[in-house]
Amino acid sequence: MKRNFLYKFFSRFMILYPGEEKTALLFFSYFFLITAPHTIVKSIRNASFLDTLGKDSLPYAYLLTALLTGLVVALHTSLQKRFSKYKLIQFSLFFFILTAVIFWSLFPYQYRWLPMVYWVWANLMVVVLMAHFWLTVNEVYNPREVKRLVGFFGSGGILGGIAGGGFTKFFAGAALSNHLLIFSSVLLGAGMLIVSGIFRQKTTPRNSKDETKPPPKNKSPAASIQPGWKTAFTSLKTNSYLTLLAVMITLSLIVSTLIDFQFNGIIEQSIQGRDNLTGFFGMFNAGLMLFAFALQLILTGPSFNRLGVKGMLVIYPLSLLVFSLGLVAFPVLITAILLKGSDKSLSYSINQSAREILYLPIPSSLKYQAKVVIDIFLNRIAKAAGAVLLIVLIHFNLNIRLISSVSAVFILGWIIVNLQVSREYIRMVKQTIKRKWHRAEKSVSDTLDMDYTKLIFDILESQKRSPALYAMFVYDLIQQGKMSPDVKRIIAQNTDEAKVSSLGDLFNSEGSSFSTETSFNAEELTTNIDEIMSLDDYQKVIDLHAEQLIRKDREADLEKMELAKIIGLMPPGSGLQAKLPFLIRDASPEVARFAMESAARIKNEDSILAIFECLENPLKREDAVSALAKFQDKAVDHLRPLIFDANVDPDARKAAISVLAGIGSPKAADALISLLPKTNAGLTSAVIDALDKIRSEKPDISFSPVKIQAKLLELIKIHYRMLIQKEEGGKANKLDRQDLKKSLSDSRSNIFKLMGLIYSHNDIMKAYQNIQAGTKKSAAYAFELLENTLQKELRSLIIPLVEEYPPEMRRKKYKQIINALE
Amino acid sequence: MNINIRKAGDISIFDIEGEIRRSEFMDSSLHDMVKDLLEEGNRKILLNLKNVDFIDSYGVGEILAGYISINNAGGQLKLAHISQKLSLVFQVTMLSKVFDIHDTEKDALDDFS
Repeated sequence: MKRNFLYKFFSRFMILYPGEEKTALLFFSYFFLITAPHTIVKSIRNASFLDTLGKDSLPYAYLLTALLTGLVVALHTSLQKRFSKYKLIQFSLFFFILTAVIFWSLFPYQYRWLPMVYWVWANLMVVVLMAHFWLTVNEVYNPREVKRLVGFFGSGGILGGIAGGGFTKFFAGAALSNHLLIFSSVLLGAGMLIVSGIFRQKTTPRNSKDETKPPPKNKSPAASIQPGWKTAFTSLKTNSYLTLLAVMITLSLIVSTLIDFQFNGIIEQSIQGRDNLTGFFGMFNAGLMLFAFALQLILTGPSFNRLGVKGMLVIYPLSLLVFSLGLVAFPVLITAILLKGSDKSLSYSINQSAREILYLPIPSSLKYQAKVVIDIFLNRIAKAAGAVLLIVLIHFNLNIRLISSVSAVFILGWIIVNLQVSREYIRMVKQTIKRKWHRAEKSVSDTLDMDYTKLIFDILESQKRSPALYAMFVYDLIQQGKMSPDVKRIIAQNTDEAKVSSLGDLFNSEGSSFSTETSFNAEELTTNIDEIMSLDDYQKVIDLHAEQLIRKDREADLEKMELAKIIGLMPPGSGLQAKLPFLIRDASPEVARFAMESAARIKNEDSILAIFECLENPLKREDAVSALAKFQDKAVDHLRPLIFDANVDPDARKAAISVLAGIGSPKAADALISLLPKTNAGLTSAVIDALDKIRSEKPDISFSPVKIQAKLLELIKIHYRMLIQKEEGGKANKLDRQDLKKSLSDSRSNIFKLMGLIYSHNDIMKAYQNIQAGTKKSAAYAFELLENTLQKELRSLIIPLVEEYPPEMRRKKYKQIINALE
Repeated sequence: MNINIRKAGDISIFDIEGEIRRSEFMDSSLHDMVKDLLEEGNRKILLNLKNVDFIDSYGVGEILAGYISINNAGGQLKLAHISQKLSLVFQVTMLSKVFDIHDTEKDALDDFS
């Protein structure tokens, strides 16, 4: 496919998929066109306020803004119910253009109340336009796309800030600052065109659900997903994660208000005159935006890989803590600039990105409600709380140093909340995605007692073979206390009338008579048979019979099977158990099976070697695996030499590995782990699968990570080599391509299974299954789970392994990783 | 338990009546009786269990001990008229493969060589 210029250009700087370039550029422009006027409007706001009313009036401005924000949110909610998002956004942009023109016309009159009204208006404009921008981003892109593209959009916003600051400085320098508002209106007008373009792009198949249309008129407001006040606040109160988010954002805004006051206080002391102030703020805003842009380019994206959400959430308040303590020690202009600069630059770059990502695991309807309340209303309420705090602090004549100390205390609290939020975030991501399947063995064992089922089938089969064998199996069932009415019914359905009658009498677990006069129940019956089997004479007679049988050839198979079965039913210590190895080595797989089952049942260690030999016989292998597994750790020592011996038939070795998986004890796991570094390609999958089986059945079992990590790195390297081979294998035939595809699929499965041994098995399997077979959205959460679970070195190797890069990037990326690994 | 021994040619037939259990044997056991017969030179013995209501493990042990003694003496032991329930106990314990069991006394007698 021929790529267009835009795609080629942007894909050099970021991971961009074909077809995304247009929408991404539109969002970049949208953010640019609202951030540039935002920076201009804020510079005018600060300058006019400080010049006319002074810093001590600031808390009142914060409070008034908070009060009016409540009204704006109520109005916004009401409009949301009537209009589509598209119309609401366009209406808001038009409203702010119109009102900017009105302020432009009023500023020359220098009314004393105007800076206060303008302050409130400017703040409302900032929060409404920003909230609309992020709502649109969340609506158009899925979480993974947001995370991938947020750095690019953020750069648009930061560049807008730089441009806005530059324009402000330029207009102020030319004594034209009054016309900045007209210039802002022009930028917002261009923003309206861009929004129109975004919503036109949105009607692509991927986003076929057109939410630009208003809800049907006959739809009741309650049925609509649009938020109401009550639902929005209830969701905040009832969802602990949202409550934590609200607390985190409230604390950050209180701190931001305190910092804003400290900064403005020092500026007021240091710089005089409205044009000087406007010029300074313009320069300052442009400078901090440049810094933010650099941070965005350097940190956002890669920083998530290095730090994860936790690190991202802590880095911002930590730097504020350092500069706040700096201001306590040195309350001068440079410290104030550093504090405010780090506040705003990190807030626009890392913090904004991290905050948007924190909304990802929230269901979309709830997210929409929460974002409106948090981003618009709570934003101002928190500022108001900061304002009230400031009024109290000013009342007690606290100076900048003391206010900085108070601010540092709030920052500490904020860091603690952020750590809690990051923990909750990972929990939420884990909750959001579900396991798609479990190992077949586990699913079967959860619903079925395999030994019991096998016994029932053997009973039914034995009915056709011999009455003696049949009676032995039924007795076995009674001895194990498993002769339920259902089983009796199943058996009876397959038995002719005569047998039903006799067995019904004899094996009636509710009690039947062995004689007409004497009542007899199952317990009495088993005791009686046990006693018979314990008789020395019985043992002698059967031993003699066994000797004769073993010498016979295949015509005595049925009797040998009976003998094998009866030995398993005999009390412990019977000398007849010594016959089991002979029967296990019998040419008939059926005789061997019965003998192996009996040996396993009575844990006859003398039989282990004979069973072990059966691993090399394809006809006896499966039964040998099943029997050896029942010996548990006793079998492990016998199996060790076999699994390590490269001369042994690979199928027998694989069977031995299956036995260890079936045993599933720490000792068996240890044997498998020891084997891991020594496996060749053929056995690797078998060993890893065996370990995965153990881990899935016993999540508490712990594995030594050293050998696993070494194997993991080896497999990752091989996987990347195969990926490069796939990229380069244009001329490979169809069969080769299919082989490679299968090898890649197996290799990926092995890598995740190995990771499941050192990390939470359930989390890793959730991630694997949702990346393999989930929706685009669930795959995005799976990536999020991996990024917040894996250690950074492994994360940097695993994410590119599962990430679907655009074709142009793949080879380069894979080669980079191979080089790094070598 | 009552045991009557009768002869049919060179075959000794034990007609057992009642329950073959430990508490039923007073002076001499079934095995003792078999041994006595063997000492007298009788090597063909048929146990007629037509009127036996119950056999416990002790009873089976007696039959087994008798079987061994007869076999060691080069004789033959046959069983006739065993109940369905006893037949199933013998099947569970594999004794059905060891003992020579016949449905009727006549069948058993005909089978003696």
